[in-house]
Amino acid sequence: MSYYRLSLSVDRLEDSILDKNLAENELRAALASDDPAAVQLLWNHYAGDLFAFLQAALRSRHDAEDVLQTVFVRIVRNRHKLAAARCLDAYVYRIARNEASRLAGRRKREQKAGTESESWLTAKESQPEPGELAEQLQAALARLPQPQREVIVMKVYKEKTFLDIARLLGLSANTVASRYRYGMEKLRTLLGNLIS
Amino acid sequence: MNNKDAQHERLENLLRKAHLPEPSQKLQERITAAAKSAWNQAPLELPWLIPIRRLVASAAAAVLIIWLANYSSDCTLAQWQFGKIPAASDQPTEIEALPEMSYSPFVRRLASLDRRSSVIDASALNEHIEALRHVLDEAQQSGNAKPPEPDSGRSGLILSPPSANSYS
Repeated sequence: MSYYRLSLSVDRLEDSILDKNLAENELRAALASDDPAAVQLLWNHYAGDLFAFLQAALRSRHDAEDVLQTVFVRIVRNRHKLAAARCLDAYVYRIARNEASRLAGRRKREQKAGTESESWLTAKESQPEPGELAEQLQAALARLPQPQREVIVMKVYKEKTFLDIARLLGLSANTVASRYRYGMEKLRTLLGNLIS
Repeated sequence: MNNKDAQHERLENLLRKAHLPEPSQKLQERITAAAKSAWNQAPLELPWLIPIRRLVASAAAAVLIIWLANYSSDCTLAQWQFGKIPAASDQPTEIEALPEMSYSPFVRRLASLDRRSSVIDASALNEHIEALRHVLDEAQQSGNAKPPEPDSGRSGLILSPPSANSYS
């Protein structure tokens, strides 16, 4: 029975890798041939994950939206470099991270208040007192260092594996795993009353 | 280890009670419109142009560096090179206008030597030879001293060594 489950999960993993490679090849071909349809492919391939990543990095939905637009425009302007990039995902996430850092630096210089209290995490309606739970989780995540928060958000909310996150962020899997572990330890301390 | 994994799992379940919003349809329309606009505006950057552009930039940088190095070297060595002699020293010294000094004859002699051309003047040499010959002719005619017979192939100016009998 367990062997059957294992073989099923390996098959799913293989399918997922194949799908990913196919989508990436299609995207590369569209970018290289200067086909405007590549914009839609880019959106389908990256928008959801990038939006989550940017929300985790910036802790603001509005800022994440603005940066997501900037990232897409930058990708389109550098589409030939992107088509020739060794790892498409790492290239795109590098752009996203740079743009997020730039905006965060600008916010810091302007000392704009209010971004901390902006809600970027939403509790499911089925939960009792969803607003309060979301606030508590958001406050706990906000207290983590940005690299740890990024890894936890990608792992928990986007269901990425450590290997996926390592490839996206250009890190080693061990680094990603240790960031996750440290982050979870801190969260356990911060959310101890909710776990039990 | 299993205990930690279980704790992490419980924590993950807790975190999953909330969710991150997906990008809205409105956001998608806004961003894809901006991206398509940028797609049409952006100049077509051909991939094969990139290495050529880098090569040209490298060559230009190399030429600039070499030119700057040469310029710097020229500026540094300028003080050690022969420059134009100042105009004041080009003018001939007025020997006669020199104040009377105890060594003024010597200075005049030096100045006259300095003015002489280093090139041998053939006519002056001929004159000098003529003058010598004239002196020798006069001496011969006066008969005060009988010149020795010139040996063939030997200069007449070189005296033959005195014979042993001449001291006896």
